[in-house]
Amino acid sequence: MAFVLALFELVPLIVQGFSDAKEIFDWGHGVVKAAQAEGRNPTPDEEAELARRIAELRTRLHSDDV
Amino acid sequence: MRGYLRWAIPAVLLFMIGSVVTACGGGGSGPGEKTPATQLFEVKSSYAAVLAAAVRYESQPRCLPDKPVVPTCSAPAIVEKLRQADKAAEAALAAADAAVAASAGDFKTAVGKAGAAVEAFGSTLSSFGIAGGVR
Repeated sequence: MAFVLALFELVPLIVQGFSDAKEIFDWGHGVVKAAQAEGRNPTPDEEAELARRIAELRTRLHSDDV
Repeated sequence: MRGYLRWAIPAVLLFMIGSVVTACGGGGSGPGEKTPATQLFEVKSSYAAVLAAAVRYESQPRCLPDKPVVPTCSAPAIVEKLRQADKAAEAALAAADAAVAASAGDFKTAVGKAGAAVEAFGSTLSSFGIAGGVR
């Protein structure tokens, strides 16, 4: 688990030019940490935001898929 | 620096996903436990990060048929493999969603399978040496 915690410290240093994925990962990690600390589920708004981001990305990935 | 990032970024993606999969299996380690919904959210946010990298690659101009594949173009065959990996991950996540929503006793299995599918998606990116944020 210490390795996992160290990893989350290391990621920002390595992915300087990987803003899209890093931003989403950092945001999601923040939501998870807050939810875990408070012993609750992510809020409906947080779930909806993640679903919205995923839906948008999937649409873009499959934009000319047949 | 650019050459370094080409392998470093996919490798970091795999580390990110792997840490999430590991964390799901071990349960919470902070002050509170991660609920099933929180565990699934964690997998989904890793999926979104991988998806962002795949989209970044797909959005590059398609490589021309008679020209060599270069890092600034996206090969149709690779795009197709990314789409297939995404569909598999999406299906596993949907199954995990249903298991968590139904408070199924085996939700951890479903969440674990979703994590594995997301990791496979990330591995597909890595196998092609795709650097999502480098132009």
